[in-house]
Amino acid sequence: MKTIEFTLTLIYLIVCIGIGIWANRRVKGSTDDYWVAGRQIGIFTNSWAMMAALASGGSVLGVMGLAYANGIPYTFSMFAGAAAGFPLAAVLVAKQLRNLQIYTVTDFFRFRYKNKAIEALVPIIIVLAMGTYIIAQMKAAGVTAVYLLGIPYPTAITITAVVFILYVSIGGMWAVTLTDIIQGILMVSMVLILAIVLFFNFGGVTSVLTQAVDISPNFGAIAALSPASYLGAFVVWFVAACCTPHLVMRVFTAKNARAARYSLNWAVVIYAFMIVFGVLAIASAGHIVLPDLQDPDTLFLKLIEMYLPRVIGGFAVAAVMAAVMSTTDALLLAAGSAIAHDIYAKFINPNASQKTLVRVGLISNIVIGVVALLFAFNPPKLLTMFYTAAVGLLGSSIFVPVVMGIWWKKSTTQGALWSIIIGTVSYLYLTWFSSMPALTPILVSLPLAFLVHVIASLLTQPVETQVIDRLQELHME
Amino acid sequence: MADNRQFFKMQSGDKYTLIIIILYTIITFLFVSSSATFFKMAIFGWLMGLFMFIAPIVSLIFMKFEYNQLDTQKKQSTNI
Repeated sequence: MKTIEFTLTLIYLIVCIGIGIWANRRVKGSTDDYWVAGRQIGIFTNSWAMMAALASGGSVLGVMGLAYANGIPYTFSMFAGAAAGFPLAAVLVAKQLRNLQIYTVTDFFRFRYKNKAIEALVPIIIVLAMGTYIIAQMKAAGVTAVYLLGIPYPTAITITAVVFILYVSIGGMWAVTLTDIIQGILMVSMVLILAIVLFFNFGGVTSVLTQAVDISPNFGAIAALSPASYLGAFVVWFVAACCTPHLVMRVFTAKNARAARYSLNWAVVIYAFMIVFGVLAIASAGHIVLPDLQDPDTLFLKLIEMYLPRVIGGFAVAAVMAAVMSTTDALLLAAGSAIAHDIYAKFINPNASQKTLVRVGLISNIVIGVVALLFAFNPPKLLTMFYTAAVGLLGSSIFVPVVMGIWWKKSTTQGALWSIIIGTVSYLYLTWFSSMPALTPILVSLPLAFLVHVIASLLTQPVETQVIDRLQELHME
Repeated sequence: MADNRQFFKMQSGDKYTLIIIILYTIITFLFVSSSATFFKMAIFGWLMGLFMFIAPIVSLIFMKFEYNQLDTQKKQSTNI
């Protein structure tokens, strides 16, 4: 057991639980406070919280491993998709969704399309995709704890899971927001500190890069993968911020539409600094000092041990935990809200009081967390690819009806329903049964969903004029 | 007067942001098969790295401009 690292991680976990207990007092049985933090979050706080929700264990451990294995161009094309996707969300969906004063993505479908099949289908897709994402994040926490704290993998994921299930369940969105600020600042500072130390050691940005390419020529080249793989990786993340619930829910928490739109962009500026400088320094240095690394996902951790003093290394362990937990808590809340708000409150008990709904939300979060934990005992191998595939599912099924529903007046219920079905089925079929390269199925499923949406909408009855009038107001507010 | 357009109107700043993001993406992907390098890394990689900063900054600039105009208009209408 490494005492310094363990103590700092323990302090960090206790702080998270403390925030959860504080947030629980603030929530007081109000669904507004539990699911969307009372819609009171300003630009600074929301920017950090959004960045933390986006930057998962994959953005700290996985991104370095991905760059080390597949080269910087491929990695940047995937992460630039996310970075460009946030401004896209600021332009296409943020104002309208925030002005609608809703809790979940499914609420938008309920308002726009008024169809029970869609209202049941969307939360199911969300729970499946978010659940998959949570399992990948738990693996990242486990890998970190095993490597740097020296505790067994099952113990590591159980401790981490218990902590975030606890603070998310009792503190809801307030706990997620407050912990995300600490977690965001912690992970950005640790990645940048390591990057600066490495730049200093290897003579700067271009020097470390050219040394790395001299050792591994493919590191800076576009060699190993087809252009479609690059495009697929980009598109999956490009459309994600418009429809991925754990990111969209942060739009609902903003105090107004202006704050929501500004925070989406500031979040990405912070994220860009962490990813670009982190990858250039850490993945490059990895090729120089560890040219034959067997498990690329451990690169960040190995360099921490080699280049940072133990106390700072302890904070770095906490930073990786923070990266994992800041995304997982948001995912858990999104999945929990899909069950409690979209399924229980709408289908099972429509007359439930706010207090009951908060209680059901709490139980849903615990159940989803425990189920994900059970799956995480036998985790997937490719961390970033695994959860990116889950995000691709959401993009294929939900992006088109959300964006078209906001902007196209002729978008109809049948158009939305069929685009969700075709988008989901084609994505899953191509992912499991075709020989298409990883992450490329979205290049077929997304245009297919778009085409089906347009054709079905043109062939069917338009939605009520009141809905279009309300949409017009949302665009104007 | 009834608005018969099929699509809702987009603010001009948002339109420019969208056009710049899409154009930048298309131009960058033209380099995906290029062997041209800069400091030994493919130009495509540099353009994508740069995109992570350009996309939000362009959006922030247009947004700031749009909201400034909106605030000025509001102020003027209040003064009248």
